[in-house]
Amino acid sequence: MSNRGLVISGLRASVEEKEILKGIDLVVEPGKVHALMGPNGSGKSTLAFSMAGHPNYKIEGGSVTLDGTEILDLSPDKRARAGLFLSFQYPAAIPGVSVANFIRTARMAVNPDDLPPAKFRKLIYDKLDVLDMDAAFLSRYVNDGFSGGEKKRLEMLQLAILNPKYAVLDETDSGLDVDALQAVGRSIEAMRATDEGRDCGFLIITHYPRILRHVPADVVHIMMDGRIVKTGGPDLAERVEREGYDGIREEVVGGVA
Amino acid sequence: MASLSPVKSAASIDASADRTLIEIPEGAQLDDPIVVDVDLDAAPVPAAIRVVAGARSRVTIVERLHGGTAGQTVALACDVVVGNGADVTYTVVQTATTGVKIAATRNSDVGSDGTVKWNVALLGGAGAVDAVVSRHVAPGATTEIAALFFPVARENVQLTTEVRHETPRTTSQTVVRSIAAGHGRGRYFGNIRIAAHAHGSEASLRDDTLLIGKDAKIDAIPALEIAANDVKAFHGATVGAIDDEHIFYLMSRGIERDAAEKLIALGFFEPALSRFPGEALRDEIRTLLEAKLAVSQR
Repeated sequence: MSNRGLVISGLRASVEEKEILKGIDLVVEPGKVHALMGPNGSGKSTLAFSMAGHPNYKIEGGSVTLDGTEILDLSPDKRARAGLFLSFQYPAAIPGVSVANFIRTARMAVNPDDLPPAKFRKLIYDKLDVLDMDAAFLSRYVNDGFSGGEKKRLEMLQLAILNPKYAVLDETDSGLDVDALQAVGRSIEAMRATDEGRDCGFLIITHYPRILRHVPADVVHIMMDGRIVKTGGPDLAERVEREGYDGIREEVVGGVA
Repeated sequence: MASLSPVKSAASIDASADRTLIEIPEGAQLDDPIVVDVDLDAAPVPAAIRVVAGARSRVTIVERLHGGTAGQTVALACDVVVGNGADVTYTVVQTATTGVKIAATRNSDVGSDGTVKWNVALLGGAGAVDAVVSRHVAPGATTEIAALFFPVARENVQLTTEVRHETPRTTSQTVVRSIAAGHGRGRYFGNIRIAAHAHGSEASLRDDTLLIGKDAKIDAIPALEIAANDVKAFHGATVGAIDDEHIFYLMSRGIERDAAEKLIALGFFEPALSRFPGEALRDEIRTLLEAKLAVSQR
């Protein structure tokens, strides 16, 4: 269908009166993995939060459509129900709310006519397995006292259970050790291998290319100072690893974007 | 514990007119809770409950305080005597009709190495004043208090908890969680008194409040009087609104704002609620809290 895709068009956004996104154009097709890389302060997280509808981020112009539906005028819960999933870099801790209760409520919100309890339990246990997570997680309170690795695994568990159409992963690899990173990569690839997950489009926001060794990117974009300055294939990520962002900054500083 | 014959292990319950007296024989270990039904529509209205737990006995009492008509005023006196080495859990689930004014005083005297656990859920009424006062009358006594209250609409709740460490090596923990929504008002007095000769005692008081909406109000007034210097006393308190970042996180998962508020508010009571005995009872209280929240969200 011609209108399938997560289409970001001319997106401008500000936070605390400061303009951060200066016109972002990017299209994520179903089933494709796009990586968005850039130095600190380039606006990567601002892009993620603006797409998800965080109240602190003000849209100054442009549009974001999900399979043809404009989502910028929707509340965050409606964007999720339209098929958008955002994995947070620093997920909030919600004391007193168990992981089990949270995941079940979230799943029912996006999949109202859903699996009977026994099937749902099995689904959760299967996904916990892939992520190397103990069932004891389910009775802990959401992100309460979780290590960085545990928080990211819980984000990935939600990704696996909620079956979004498009997943934006904000610095999912930051602060992770080798094992946690492998679990995250395994979980994403496992999801992409299922019938429900095959067509999910990914926008992986990352500072380092590490995660792209576990989840290969089809397209790599480099973001600097609120704009996408370069787009290329996986070799672009390798170039960042070799030269850092300075090399690319020099190349584009002549105004080519 | 040596097992006792059924006759000796049973509690003796004398309910006459407006008084109830429950006596538990020495050494009796009662697994099944004794339910005391305080029906404010009864005649006469119950006015006094007394529990005397013999040495080394163990009992759980669940007081269900309910009913009444708007405009009614009720006073209830509840006394618990915890014998040496005894273990008493006293749980109150108060769901009185809106518009009933209740003043309840609940006292416990805890003997040597005895333990009392008070669990108080104040969920009904329009004006409720509840005071839980526990005295450690002999060394080694322990008091645990867990309480929750949730004034919504135009309800008004006042709770006082007080633990008096009057003897050496006694311990207490107080955990209170409250939410006010709509025009609900609350007041909590949290008192810890450690006397000069209560050497080696430890007390902690934790009081957390959530306010939903600009008209909700809860005053929290802690008071720690500590007259001995070889004791440990800890106090922590928070008052705040629901964190917008928490709401955003839940909404970003497709959960509507009201449902997100509900998850967070119900979760807020858990540190106190988790201390109430029995999953069935906890679920019952969760359902009552949900109903109150629905009233406040209308």
